[in-house]
Amino acid sequence: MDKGHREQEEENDKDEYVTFKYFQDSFGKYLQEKTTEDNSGESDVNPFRDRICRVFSHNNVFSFEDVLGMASVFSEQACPSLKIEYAFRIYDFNENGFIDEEDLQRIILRLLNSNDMSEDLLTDLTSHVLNESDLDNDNMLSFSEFEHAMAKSPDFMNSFRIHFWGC
Amino acid sequence: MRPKRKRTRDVINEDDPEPEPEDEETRKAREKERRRRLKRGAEEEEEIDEEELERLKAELDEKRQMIATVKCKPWKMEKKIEKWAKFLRDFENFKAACVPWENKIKAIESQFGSSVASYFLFLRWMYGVNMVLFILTFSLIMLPEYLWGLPYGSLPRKTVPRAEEASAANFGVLYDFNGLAQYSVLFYGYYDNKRTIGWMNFRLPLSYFLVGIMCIGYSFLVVLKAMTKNIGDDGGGDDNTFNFSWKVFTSWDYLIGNPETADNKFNSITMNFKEAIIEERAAQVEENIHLIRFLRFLANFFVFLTLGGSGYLIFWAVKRSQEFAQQDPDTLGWWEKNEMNMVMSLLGMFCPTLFDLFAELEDYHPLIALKWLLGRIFALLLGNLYVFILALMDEINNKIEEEKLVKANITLWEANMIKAYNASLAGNTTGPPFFVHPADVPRGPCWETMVGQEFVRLTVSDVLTTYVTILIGDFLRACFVRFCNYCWCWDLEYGYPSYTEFDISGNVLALIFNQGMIWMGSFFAPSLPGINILRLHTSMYFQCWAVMCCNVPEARVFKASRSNNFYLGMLLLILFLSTMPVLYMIVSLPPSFDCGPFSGKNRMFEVIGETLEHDFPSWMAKILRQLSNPGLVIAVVLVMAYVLSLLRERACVMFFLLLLSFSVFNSFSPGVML
Repeated sequence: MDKGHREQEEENDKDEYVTFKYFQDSFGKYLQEKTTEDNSGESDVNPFRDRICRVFSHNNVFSFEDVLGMASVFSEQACPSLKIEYAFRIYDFNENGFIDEEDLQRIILRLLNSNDMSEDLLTDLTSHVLNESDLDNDNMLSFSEFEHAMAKSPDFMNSFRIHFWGC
Repeated sequence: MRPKRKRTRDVINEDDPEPEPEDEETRKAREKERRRRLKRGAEEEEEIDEEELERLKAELDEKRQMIATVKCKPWKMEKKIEKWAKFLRDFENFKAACVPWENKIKAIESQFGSSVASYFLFLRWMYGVNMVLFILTFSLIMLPEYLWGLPYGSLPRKTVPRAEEASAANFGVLYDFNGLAQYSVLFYGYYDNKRTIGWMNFRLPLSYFLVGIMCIGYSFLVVLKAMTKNIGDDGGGDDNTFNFSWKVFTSWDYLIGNPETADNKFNSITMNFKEAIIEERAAQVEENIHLIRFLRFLANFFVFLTLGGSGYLIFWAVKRSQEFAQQDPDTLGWWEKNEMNMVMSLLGMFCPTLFDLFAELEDYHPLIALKWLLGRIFALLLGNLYVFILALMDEINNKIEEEKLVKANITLWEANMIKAYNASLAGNTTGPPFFVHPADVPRGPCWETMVGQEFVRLTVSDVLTTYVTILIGDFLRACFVRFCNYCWCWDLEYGYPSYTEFDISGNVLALIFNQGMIWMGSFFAPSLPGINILRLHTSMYFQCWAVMCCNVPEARVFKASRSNNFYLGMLLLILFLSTMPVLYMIVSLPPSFDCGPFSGKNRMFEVIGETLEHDFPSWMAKILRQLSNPGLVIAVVLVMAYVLSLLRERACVMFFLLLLSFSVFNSFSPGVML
């Protein structure tokens, strides 16, 4: 059990992007909401919440340091490359190291918040995305292709962040 | 010792120092909390069993022993440095907590998304800029005059004329910024033109001039800085290469925490995708292009008609207000007195709806239609502002003509007074000294104070119009929809009228144009930044409340990131256009002869030459006179043009363009230094 060790390491974390004081206030509430992988807490509306939990937890358990890591990545001041790396892991549903067609379809279904969508729309969108970003034509997006696409996006940094304040 | 565990983040140095044990109390508190959490975990999930608990307890005892031994050791150097690092961290926390309205804006952000919150961030930034302007004008102009200048009633310029004395303190008169409000530090006319005042020999005219220039310079600097900071964010621009990828990976706004907003977001994403696909397919098909072109031409024609109509209306209203000014104020009703301001505010409110209507003809993509709408509203407000200024210039020229007459009259009046005084002394050699009460002295028409008053009145009426619009348009409408829904035929909430959405672009434009008026008017009314501070402060609270209480999140959510630089660009343009008339007035119009800190001079900027002569050693004045030599100025301009061609960074280019324009301006108005 690593829970016991976290508290000592937090104070000496010099590379925090999140001020510790604010984080501690909402820590308990946040743990409660994020560790359950079903439709609990009404405030949790993110369509990718289960992926977020999966990426940031270890052995299906959320330790304090994991939550701290998540706060750092989603903070406003985190650097783009860090966010892109974690975004890639979140969007890689089958965790094979690539975002393939199946992952893309699942992302789109989540975004549209419905389980039934016309097949043409899905295939259309998937093919458009792959046409734009897949440079080596293997029908999958590798991390470098994803990074190349997201690096120039003006909205990526603004949308890929979460606040952890207690209000 | 504890095993070193590899962390999930990859930015930590491997050779971080070992964490040291801490205070007994905090350690105990944390252990208690952790035990509590463990217990709670044991009740909810069966993950932690007795063995684990025992092992943890053993660990705790071990650590407690360690603390006891460590406590006996003296403090090491690292511990002291750690205290300093802790202090720095606390200071950073304090600074973060000092940023005003942070919680409010975050709450709005989570409910409405980043676009609406960007308006409030813009408002807060403006508040900061205005705060600096206020501090400058208050501490360097208003305060010295109030503390060390001559008091009210000592000079003709500082006293209410005898004719107006009776009504000087009425609320109606004060609301119009006449009477006592006019003859106070709030306006230009009150200030005395003595070179130094008070025991510190504070040079008020010089300070007045320099603060005016500094305000303009500071505003330019801060807007340019904000733009260059945002230029980096806006790197993508209209790049269409990754259109669909960006739509898929960056559509979801992770800040959203409200289920209703999330539903809206899902809907807007669905619509967005569908439209994008349709657009892709429709790009090949060309409809009846001639009909579309004709309709668009028609729409633009109507828009021009509207702009022309509104410009004429404002001109007519200003002319009428001049006529009313000639008449006796008591015969005028409320509408006549406030007609011009009301006309401007109402035009600003209703014309955008007309533009929306005309845009139906055009059949553009919503984003493009929004840009056209913004451009048209901008043109409308700009046109209104400039018509207003033209009318004002007309009025100023009238007043300058009037001044010449008054000057002639005053010499006559003085001669009469002296004759009367000598006549009263004819009998006795000793008598009361020649004294005329300041209130009885005939006054010139002080055009600078008039300009200041117009801008202050415009600002105040704008504020009132905005608040009344929000109260009626948003709040009352929301009340009506909420409470009358039970007894109404159709569903008020989903059909018409439903709740209002927060109009971001309208509000941002209004903010920008109000700021333009502040920049224009603050040279003639030093109180204007202060009034604006009050307005922004109350606006923040009022609009935050209105947004959370009466508005619903937009059905279509447009990203704010690309608009940021667009709005700052408009602000820069407005700043430029607002300061042009002020600079023109400073350079080319003669100041009034009997009011303000520059009275008696030929031009306002002569105060600089005067200071150079009197207060600086003579050799410095000679050098500076040489510097304004046209030949030298041309050489400097050429050098700057060359440097401009070398520089690539946009910020430096803009800054040098600015310097260039100012130096050209300097060379065209000769004798600034002399």
